[in-house]
Amino acid sequence: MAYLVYLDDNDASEKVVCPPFQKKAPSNFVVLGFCRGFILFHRRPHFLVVWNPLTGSSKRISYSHIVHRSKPPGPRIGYDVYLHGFGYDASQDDYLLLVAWCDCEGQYHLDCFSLRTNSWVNLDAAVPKHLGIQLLGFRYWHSGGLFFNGAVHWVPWDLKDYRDAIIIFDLMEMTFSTISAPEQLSCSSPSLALLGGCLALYSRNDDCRNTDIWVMKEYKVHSSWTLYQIPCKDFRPLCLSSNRDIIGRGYTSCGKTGYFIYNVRGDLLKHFNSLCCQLPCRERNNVYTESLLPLPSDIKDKDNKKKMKEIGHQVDHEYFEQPDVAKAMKQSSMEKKKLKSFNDLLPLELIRAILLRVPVKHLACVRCVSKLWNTLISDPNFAKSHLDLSLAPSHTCLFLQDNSHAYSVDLDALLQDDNDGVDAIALSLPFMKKPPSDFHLLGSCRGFVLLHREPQFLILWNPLTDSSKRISYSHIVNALTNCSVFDRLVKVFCFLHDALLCGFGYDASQDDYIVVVAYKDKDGENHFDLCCLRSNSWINLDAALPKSLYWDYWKPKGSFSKISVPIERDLYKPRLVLLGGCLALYVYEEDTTEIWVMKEYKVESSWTVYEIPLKFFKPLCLSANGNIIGRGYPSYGEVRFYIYNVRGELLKHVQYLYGEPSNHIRSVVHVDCLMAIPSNIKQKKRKKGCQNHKEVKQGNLVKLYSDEAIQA
Amino acid sequence: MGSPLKKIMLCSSEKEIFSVEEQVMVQHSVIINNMIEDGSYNYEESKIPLDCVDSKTLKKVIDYCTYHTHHHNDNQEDLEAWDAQFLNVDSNGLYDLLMAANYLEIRNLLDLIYRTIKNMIKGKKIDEIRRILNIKDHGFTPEEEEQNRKEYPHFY
Repeated sequence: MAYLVYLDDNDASEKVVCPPFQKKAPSNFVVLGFCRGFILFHRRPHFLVVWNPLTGSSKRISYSHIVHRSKPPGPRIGYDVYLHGFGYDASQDDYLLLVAWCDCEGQYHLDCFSLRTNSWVNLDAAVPKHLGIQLLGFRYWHSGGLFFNGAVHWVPWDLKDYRDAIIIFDLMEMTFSTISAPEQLSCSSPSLALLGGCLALYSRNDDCRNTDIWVMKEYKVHSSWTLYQIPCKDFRPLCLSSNRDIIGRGYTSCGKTGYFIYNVRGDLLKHFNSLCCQLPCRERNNVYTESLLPLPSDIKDKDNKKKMKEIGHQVDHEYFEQPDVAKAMKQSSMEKKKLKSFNDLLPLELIRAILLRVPVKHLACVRCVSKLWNTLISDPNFAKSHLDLSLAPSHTCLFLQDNSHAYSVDLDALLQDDNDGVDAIALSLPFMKKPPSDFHLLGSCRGFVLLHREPQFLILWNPLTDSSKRISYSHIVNALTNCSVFDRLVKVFCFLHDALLCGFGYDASQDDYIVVVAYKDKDGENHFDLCCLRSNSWINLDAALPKSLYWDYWKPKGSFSKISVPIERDLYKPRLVLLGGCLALYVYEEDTTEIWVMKEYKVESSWTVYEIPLKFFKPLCLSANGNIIGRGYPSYGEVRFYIYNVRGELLKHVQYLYGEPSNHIRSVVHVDCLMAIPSNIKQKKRKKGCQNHKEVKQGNLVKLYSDEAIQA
Repeated sequence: MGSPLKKIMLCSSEKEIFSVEEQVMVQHSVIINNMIEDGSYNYEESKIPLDCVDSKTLKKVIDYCTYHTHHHNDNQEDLEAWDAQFLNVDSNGLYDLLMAANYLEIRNLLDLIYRTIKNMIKGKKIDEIRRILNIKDHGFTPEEEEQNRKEYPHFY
């Protein structure tokens, strides 16, 4: 008997199904594998069945050629035979079954069955010689392979004997390769699973209370192995729910059995115990995706082709007839079938949805197309939606040169193929005086840039709309300087050099931008101040500051807390950057740049390292397909933009064409937006929110805090 | 979870009846999914009336849903090529499809059409956009239009 259990986000239900080719006096079935909605069974004594439980179609496969020549005689796949696997070759639209076996002379063989041609092929030639015996003769592989990404994957029973861990056989290329397992993986019989489109290894932790799940977030990127610990004694992860929680079955140390849903932090979300699920220890779980696909077969294929041809003919006919008809009807149809106007036809919400997808830099032009569009785009909610939905994000890198001239470079334009050089656009800075005063970039957030202008104020600036606001910090200056005039001349607090740390962020609950600063006053005491830009006022937050903390890594829990740095060894001068929505650190090594990305916020094991073979590479942002865009200095006085993929291969580089770049240009990446500066008038309408986290960043410091802290 | 072979009836504005595999529509259309789930659809008698979708458009929509149900495992490039071919229609056809997809809440089709229209607009001159979308009455007063042209000559 077979049971299907439907796993859904909120529900699990089960159904009893009957496998095909069932005989009276029930025969023994064993599940060997699954792929694209099909399940592969072994039925005693000697044949295999491929079955789609949803459509009920099935096919029988004989392996008599192996049975007769094999040692020990009469092997049964799934019991006695060595590794096997079931997968799909997209290039041929064919399902393949791989079996390794040993003939009576002690020779190992690898055979492959194609469901389309219904025949066995010998693949001995594809097995690399040095791996031969190890691969095929090794009895203790978890013999059933896992199909993923066009290849079948096997993992050994015990990693002590075989450190290269995962053996991969590519069904299209017919070649073997390997991936090594994470070093920290405990060695007791790991198994493979497919979780949310990623390969995962799981094994019971040595302490017998937890199950370790290692997920390889990026295929074949070794550093992307990420650990999740599930507090369940023997947990078999089955799949991920739509909100990335882990669904699996197992039993906990306190004796609960059944199906469980855990989140990535290991908290139990749901437990289904009503389902029939005794857990035979050795039985395999098979998760498969339902599909309506038919079984491929050569005969059907011919039929299809015939049909296709017929259809093709019909289409051709229609095609040839059309011009004549068209000619005859041309005049009348031209009159009848006037093209309808976009604006008259479509409802406003649809026009708005389209405009939301137009990148900001085109919106200035697009708003002149019609009055209606102009009205839609000018709506303040439009700017907010455009930014929040980020259906058309555009990244701009902003430079300051000689501390007085601002230039912006469109990073998205770098991706276009025909681009060999990139032009910077000169921008005029707000509050510019004559003679030019010195400006410094402090940070960027949601389309706004925070600038410091010497001597003593801060500027909030949206470079795209060129709106700006001035923020004074005279109270800090006063706290720092003694009353006497002479002292003030000696030492004036300069935000840029004397602030211990500062940050710029956005509080969604109040729709407000926030600047935070930490400084030492004249008596050497630490202070922590916050400025809300909506009200343009400073608040002291010393109470939120735990005394024991160093100026290091900070994170909220009503107040500050830390995120630990990825590795044990010291990182020299790490800097922070935001890459594709993840927090990342980068460090300059001798000839390379290491980028550490925290794939899941606050999940420490998700730190993933990428190595870029370039000194002083400054990552700026990710492209739509996940490549890293950054800046580097190939030689003195030269600036280039580079695009690398995650494996550290250079995809493209573009020369920076504008002027004389100096080696110490500071830059920030910001997302273009049309948002207006928040002002006090609006604030009255809003309720005071509570406990929302704000993220602020600058240099190598991250700070987050909550409103609780303000009230404290 | 519905049986794969169950069919449902859709009725176009011309009262033409289309019979579609239930699974195909349920997977793609939010409103049909809701209708089936809350049990308001009777498999023997009901026809889902789609008064604002004509037969030609409905056929296209069904083609799209059917293809994407059966080929969702295909590689991305093939699907994109198919989509591009699928949307090779005149602008009236495109707007009809957009409204049908919006009415039936077929999210991936909606997204596809939004993207297509966005690409028709993006980076073009204003006069060209107006021609492509057949916007004759732009709604600006002659003075406003004059001023825009003066202020941003490179847009036109």
